[in-house]
Amino acid sequence: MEAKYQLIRTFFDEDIPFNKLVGMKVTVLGEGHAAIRVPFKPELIGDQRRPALHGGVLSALIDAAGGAAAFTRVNLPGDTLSTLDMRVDYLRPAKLQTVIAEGHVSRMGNRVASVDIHCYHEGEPERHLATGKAVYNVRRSSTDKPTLQ
Amino acid sequence: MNLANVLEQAKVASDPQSLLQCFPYAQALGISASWDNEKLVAHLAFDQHIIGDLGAAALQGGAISTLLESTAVLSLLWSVEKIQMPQFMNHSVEYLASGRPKPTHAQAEIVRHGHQIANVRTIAWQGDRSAPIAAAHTHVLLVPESK
Repeated sequence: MEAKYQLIRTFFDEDIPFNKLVGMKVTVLGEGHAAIRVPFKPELIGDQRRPALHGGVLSALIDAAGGAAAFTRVNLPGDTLSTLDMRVDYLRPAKLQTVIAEGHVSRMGNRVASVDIHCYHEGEPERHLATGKAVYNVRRSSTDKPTLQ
Repeated sequence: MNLANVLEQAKVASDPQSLLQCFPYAQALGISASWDNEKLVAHLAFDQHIIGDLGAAALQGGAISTLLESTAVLSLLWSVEKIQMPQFMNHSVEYLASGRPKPTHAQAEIVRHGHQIANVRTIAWQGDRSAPIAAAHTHVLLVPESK
Protein backbone atom coordinates (compact mmCIF):
# COMPACT_ATOMS: atom_id res chain seq x y z
CA MET A 1 0.00 0.00 0.00
CA GLU A 2 2.83 2.39 0.89
CA ALA A 3 4.41 1.80 -2.53
CA LYS A 4 1.11 2.71 -4.20
CA TYR A 5 0.82 5.88 -2.10
CA GLN A 6 4.37 6.82 -3.07
CA LEU A 7 3.44 6.45 -6.75
CA ILE A 8 0.42 8.72 -6.27
CA ARG A 9 2.48 11.27 -4.34
CA THR A 10 5.21 11.39 -6.98
CA PHE A 11 2.65 11.52 -9.77
CA PHE A 12 0.71 14.45 -8.27
CA ASP A 13 3.65 16.40 -6.79
CA GLU A 14 6.29 15.89 -9.48
CA ASP A 15 4.79 14.61 -12.71
CA ILE A 16 1.85 16.99 -13.22
CA PRO A 17 3.24 20.34 -14.39
CA PHE A 18 0.00 22.17 -13.61
CA ASN A 19 0.03 21.01 -9.99
CA LYS A 20 3.58 22.34 -9.66
CA LEU A 21 2.54 25.67 -11.20
CA VAL A 22 -0.19 26.13 -8.59
CA GLY A 23 2.05 24.76 -5.83
CA MET A 24 0.03 21.68 -4.82
CA LYS A 25 1.50 19.03 -2.51
CA VAL A 26 -0.21 15.83 -1.43
CA THR A 27 -0.28 15.80 2.39
CA VAL A 28 -2.55 12.87 3.30
CA LEU A 29 -3.28 9.58 1.54
CA GLY A 30 -5.40 6.72 2.86
CA GLU A 31 -7.79 4.20 1.37
CA GLY A 32 -10.40 6.26 -0.43
CA HIS A 33 -9.23 9.62 0.80
CA ALA A 34 -6.57 12.23 0.08
CA ALA A 35 -5.67 15.78 1.03
CA ILE A 36 -3.75 18.33 -1.03
CA ARG A 37 -2.30 21.58 0.29
CA VAL A 38 -1.60 24.84 -1.57
CA PRO A 39 0.39 27.59 0.19
CA PHE A 40 -0.61 31.14 -0.71
CA LYS A 41 1.27 33.06 -3.38
CA PRO A 42 0.24 36.32 -5.12
CA GLU A 43 -0.33 34.59 -8.48
CA LEU A 44 -3.36 32.82 -6.99
CA ILE A 45 -5.34 36.00 -6.33
CA GLY A 46 -8.62 36.30 -8.22
CA ASP A 47 -10.16 39.38 -6.70
CA GLN A 48 -7.75 41.99 -5.42
CA ARG A 49 -10.51 44.16 -4.05
CA ARG A 50 -11.80 41.78 -1.36
CA PRO A 51 -9.04 40.26 -1.56
CA ALA A 52 -9.74 36.60 -2.36
CA LEU A 53 -8.19 33.66 -4.17
CA HIS A 54 -9.39 32.95 -7.69
CA GLY A 55 -12.24 30.42 -7.89
CA GLY A 56 -10.11 28.51 -10.38
CA VAL A 57 -7.55 27.76 -7.66
CA LEU A 58 -10.22 26.02 -5.60
CA SER A 59 -11.70 24.17 -8.58
CA ALA A 60 -8.25 22.99 -9.69
CA LEU A 61 -7.49 21.89 -6.13
CA ILE A 62 -10.85 20.10 -5.86
CA ASP A 63 -10.21 18.25 -9.13
CA ALA A 64 -6.73 17.22 -7.93
CA ALA A 65 -7.81 16.13 -4.45
CA GLY A 66 -10.71 14.15 -5.91
CA GLY A 67 -8.38 12.51 -8.41
CA ALA A 68 -5.82 11.63 -5.71
CA ALA A 69 -8.55 10.09 -3.52
CA ALA A 70 -9.84 8.02 -6.45
CA PHE A 71 -6.28 6.92 -7.29
CA THR A 72 -5.98 5.29 -3.85
CA ARG A 73 -8.74 2.87 -4.93
CA VAL A 74 -7.41 1.73 -8.31
CA ASN A 75 -4.66 -0.69 -9.29
CA LEU A 76 -1.33 1.06 -9.74
CA PRO A 77 0.64 1.21 -11.89
CA GLY A 78 -1.71 0.57 -14.75
CA ASP A 79 -5.17 2.02 -14.20
CA THR A 80 -5.78 5.63 -15.22
CA LEU A 81 -8.42 8.24 -14.39
CA SER A 82 -9.89 11.23 -16.16
CA THR A 83 -12.43 13.76 -14.90
CA LEU A 84 -15.86 13.43 -16.50
CA ASP A 85 -17.82 15.95 -14.49
CA MET A 86 -17.15 18.28 -11.60
CA ARG A 87 -19.39 20.60 -9.64
CA VAL A 88 -18.02 23.22 -7.27
CA ASP A 89 -20.08 25.20 -4.77
CA TYR A 90 -18.30 28.30 -3.53
CA LEU A 91 -19.38 28.88 0.06
CA ARG A 92 -17.21 31.81 1.13
CA PRO A 93 -14.28 33.78 -0.30
CA ALA A 94 -10.88 32.15 0.19
CA LYS A 95 -8.49 34.37 2.12
CA LEU A 96 -4.89 34.86 0.99
CA GLN A 97 -3.78 31.89 3.09
CA THR A 98 -2.91 28.22 2.73
CA VAL A 99 -5.81 26.13 1.39
CA ILE A 100 -6.33 22.40 1.84
CA ALA A 101 -8.71 20.21 -0.14
CA GLU A 102 -9.82 16.81 1.12
CA GLY A 103 -11.39 14.21 -1.12
CA HIS A 104 -13.40 11.17 0.01
CA VAL A 105 -14.49 8.50 -2.45
CA SER A 106 -18.25 8.02 -2.15
CA ARG A 107 -18.47 5.21 -4.69
CA MET A 108 -15.75 3.30 -6.50
CA GLY A 109 -17.08 1.37 -9.44
CA ASN A 110 -15.34 -0.61 -12.11
CA ARG A 111 -15.57 2.21 -14.61
CA VAL A 112 -16.71 5.28 -12.70
CA ALA A 113 -15.57 6.83 -9.42
CA SER A 114 -17.56 9.44 -7.53
CA VAL A 115 -15.74 11.65 -5.01
CA ASP A 116 -16.86 14.30 -2.49
CA ILE A 117 -14.37 17.07 -1.84
CA HIS A 118 -14.21 20.05 0.50
CA CYS A 119 -11.75 22.92 0.86
CA TYR A 120 -10.75 24.83 3.97
CA HIS A 121 -7.98 27.04 5.31
CA GLU A 122 -5.24 25.31 7.26
CA GLY A 123 -6.24 25.16 10.93
CA GLU A 124 -9.95 25.71 10.18
CA PRO A 125 -11.13 22.30 8.93
CA GLU A 126 -14.76 22.90 9.92
CA ARG A 127 -15.09 26.16 8.00
CA HIS A 128 -15.59 25.03 4.41
CA LEU A 129 -14.63 27.45 1.63
CA ALA A 130 -16.02 25.33 -1.16
CA THR A 131 -17.40 21.86 -1.67
CA GLY A 132 -17.16 19.77 -4.78
CA LYS A 133 -18.47 16.62 -6.33
CA ALA A 134 -16.41 15.06 -9.08
CA VAL A 135 -16.93 12.00 -11.25
CA TYR A 136 -13.96 10.23 -12.82
CA ASN A 137 -13.75 7.77 -15.66
CA VAL A 138 -11.64 4.77 -14.59
CA ARG A 139 -9.72 2.98 -17.30
CA ARG A 140 -8.62 -0.44 -16.11
CA SER A 141 -5.32 -1.78 -17.42
CA SER A 142 -6.68 -5.32 -17.32
CA THR A 143 -10.12 -6.84 -17.46
CA ASP A 144 -9.67 -8.20 -13.94
CA LYS A 145 -12.15 -6.96 -11.39
CA PRO A 146 -10.63 -4.44 -9.01
CA THR A 147 -9.54 -5.63 -5.60
CA LEU A 148 -12.55 -5.28 -3.34
CA GLN A 149 -11.83 -3.32 -0.19
CA MET B 1 -6.37 48.90 -8.39
CA ASN B 2 -9.98 49.89 -8.86
CA LEU B 3 -12.08 47.52 -10.91
CA ALA B 4 -14.50 50.28 -11.93
CA ASN B 5 -11.67 52.35 -13.43
CA VAL B 6 -10.10 49.37 -15.17
CA LEU B 7 -13.46 48.35 -16.62
CA GLU B 8 -14.27 51.87 -17.76
CA GLN B 9 -10.92 52.24 -19.50
CA ALA B 10 -11.19 48.77 -21.05
CA LYS B 11 -14.62 49.62 -22.46
CA VAL B 12 -13.44 52.96 -23.86
CA ALA B 13 -10.55 51.17 -25.58
CA SER B 14 -12.77 48.15 -26.40
CA ASP B 15 -9.96 46.03 -24.99
CA PRO B 16 -11.12 43.03 -22.92
CA GLN B 17 -7.51 41.93 -22.47
CA SER B 18 -6.83 44.83 -20.09
CA LEU B 19 -9.49 43.49 -17.68
CA LEU B 20 -7.25 40.52 -16.96
CA GLN B 21 -4.96 42.70 -14.84
CA CYS B 22 -7.68 42.31 -12.18
CA PHE B 23 -7.21 38.52 -12.21
CA PRO B 24 -3.61 37.54 -11.41
CA TYR B 25 -4.39 33.81 -11.37
CA ALA B 26 -5.90 33.88 -14.86
CA GLN B 27 -2.87 35.88 -16.03
CA ALA B 28 -0.45 33.45 -14.39
CA LEU B 29 -2.09 30.63 -16.34
CA GLY B 30 -1.64 32.49 -19.62
CA ILE B 31 -5.27 33.41 -20.27
CA SER B 32 -5.95 36.24 -22.73
CA ALA B 33 -9.08 37.74 -24.27
CA SER B 34 -10.04 39.23 -27.63
CA TRP B 35 -12.96 39.85 -29.96
CA ASP B 36 -14.22 37.36 -32.47
CA ASN B 37 -17.19 38.53 -34.55
CA GLU B 38 -18.05 41.04 -31.84
CA LYS B 39 -18.13 38.31 -29.21
CA LEU B 40 -15.70 38.06 -26.35
CA VAL B 41 -13.47 35.00 -26.63
CA ALA B 42 -10.92 34.01 -24.01
CA HIS B 43 -7.86 31.99 -24.89
CA LEU B 44 -5.63 29.67 -22.91
CA ALA B 45 -2.24 29.42 -24.59
CA PHE B 46 -0.60 26.02 -24.45
CA ASP B 47 2.31 25.75 -22.05
CA GLN B 48 4.08 22.78 -20.46
CA HIS B 49 2.91 24.10 -17.08
CA ILE B 50 -0.75 23.38 -17.70
CA ILE B 51 -0.30 19.72 -18.59
CA GLY B 52 -2.14 17.37 -16.25
CA ASP B 53 -1.11 14.04 -17.73
CA LEU B 54 2.37 13.80 -19.22
CA GLY B 55 1.76 10.32 -20.65
CA ALA B 56 -1.32 11.33 -22.57
CA ALA B 57 -0.13 14.98 -23.00
CA ALA B 58 -3.55 16.17 -21.80
CA LEU B 59 -4.35 19.54 -20.21
CA GLN B 60 -5.18 19.58 -16.50
CA GLY B 61 -8.90 19.84 -15.81
CA GLY B 62 -8.29 22.71 -13.37
CA ALA B 63 -6.70 24.80 -16.11
CA ILE B 64 -9.70 24.23 -18.39
CA SER B 65 -12.06 24.96 -15.49
CA THR B 66 -10.25 28.24 -14.80
CA LEU B 67 -10.48 29.23 -18.47
CA LEU B 68 -14.25 28.58 -18.38
CA GLU B 69 -14.69 30.57 -15.15
CA SER B 70 -12.56 33.44 -16.40
CA THR B 71 -14.54 33.59 -19.65
CA ALA B 72 -17.78 33.73 -17.66
CA VAL B 73 -16.53 36.53 -15.39
CA LEU B 74 -15.05 38.59 -18.25
CA SER B 75 -18.25 38.33 -20.29
CA LEU B 76 -20.37 39.31 -17.30
CA LEU B 77 -18.17 42.29 -16.45
CA TRP B 78 -18.36 43.43 -20.05
CA SER B 79 -22.15 43.18 -20.13
CA VAL B 80 -22.93 45.08 -16.92
CA GLU B 81 -23.99 48.71 -16.96
CA LYS B 82 -23.40 49.27 -13.29
CA ILE B 83 -20.07 48.00 -12.01
CA GLN B 84 -20.52 44.79 -10.14
CA MET B 85 -17.83 42.40 -9.04
CA PRO B 86 -19.09 38.90 -9.79
CA GLN B 87 -18.74 36.34 -7.00
CA PHE B 88 -18.99 32.68 -7.94
CA MET B 89 -21.73 30.66 -6.30
CA ASN B 90 -21.20 27.44 -8.14
CA HIS B 91 -19.46 26.16 -11.20
CA SER B 92 -20.29 22.87 -12.87
CA VAL B 93 -17.90 21.57 -15.50
CA GLU B 94 -18.49 18.77 -17.97
CA TYR B 95 -15.32 17.44 -19.52
CA LEU B 96 -16.22 16.25 -23.00
CA ALA B 97 -12.84 15.36 -24.47
CA SER B 98 -9.27 15.54 -23.22
CA GLY B 99 -7.48 18.84 -23.88
CA ARG B 100 -4.71 18.43 -26.43
CA PRO B 101 -1.42 20.35 -26.17
CA LYS B 102 -2.58 23.32 -28.24
CA PRO B 103 -4.42 26.61 -27.64
CA THR B 104 -7.90 26.44 -26.10
CA HIS B 105 -10.63 29.02 -26.63
CA ALA B 106 -13.81 29.70 -24.71
CA GLN B 107 -16.92 31.75 -25.14
CA ALA B 108 -19.70 32.45 -22.68
CA GLU B 109 -23.40 32.93 -23.17
CA ILE B 110 -25.25 34.76 -20.43
CA VAL B 111 -28.38 32.67 -20.13
CA ARG B 112 -30.00 34.92 -17.55
CA HIS B 113 -28.78 38.13 -16.03
CA GLY B 114 -30.93 38.86 -13.00
CA HIS B 115 -30.63 41.60 -10.41
CA GLN B 116 -28.69 39.41 -8.04
CA ILE B 117 -27.75 36.25 -9.86
CA ALA B 118 -26.47 35.53 -13.33
CA ASN B 119 -26.56 32.15 -15.02
CA VAL B 120 -23.80 31.64 -17.57
CA ARG B 121 -23.13 28.80 -19.98
CA THR B 122 -19.56 28.54 -21.27
CA ILE B 123 -18.04 26.30 -23.91
CA ALA B 124 -14.36 25.57 -24.57
CA TRP B 125 -12.93 24.22 -27.80
CA GLN B 126 -9.59 23.77 -29.52
CA GLY B 127 -9.27 23.63 -33.33
CA ASP B 128 -12.88 22.89 -34.19
CA ARG B 129 -15.50 25.02 -32.52
CA SER B 130 -18.22 22.47 -33.23
CA ALA B 131 -16.27 19.88 -31.19
CA PRO B 132 -16.13 21.39 -27.67
CA ILE B 133 -13.75 19.83 -25.15
CA ALA B 134 -15.58 21.15 -22.08
CA ALA B 135 -18.76 22.97 -21.10
CA ALA B 136 -19.71 24.69 -17.87
CA HIS B 137 -22.72 26.14 -16.12
CA THR B 138 -21.87 28.88 -13.67
CA HIS B 139 -24.03 30.79 -11.20
CA VAL B 140 -22.62 34.13 -10.20
CA LEU B 141 -23.74 36.47 -7.44
CA LEU B 142 -23.70 40.09 -8.56
CA VAL B 143 -22.69 42.45 -5.81
CA PRO B 144 -22.78 46.19 -6.50
CA GLU B 145 -19.38 47.82 -6.06
CA SER B 146 -19.51 49.73 -2.78
CA LYS B 147 -18.65 53.36 -3.09
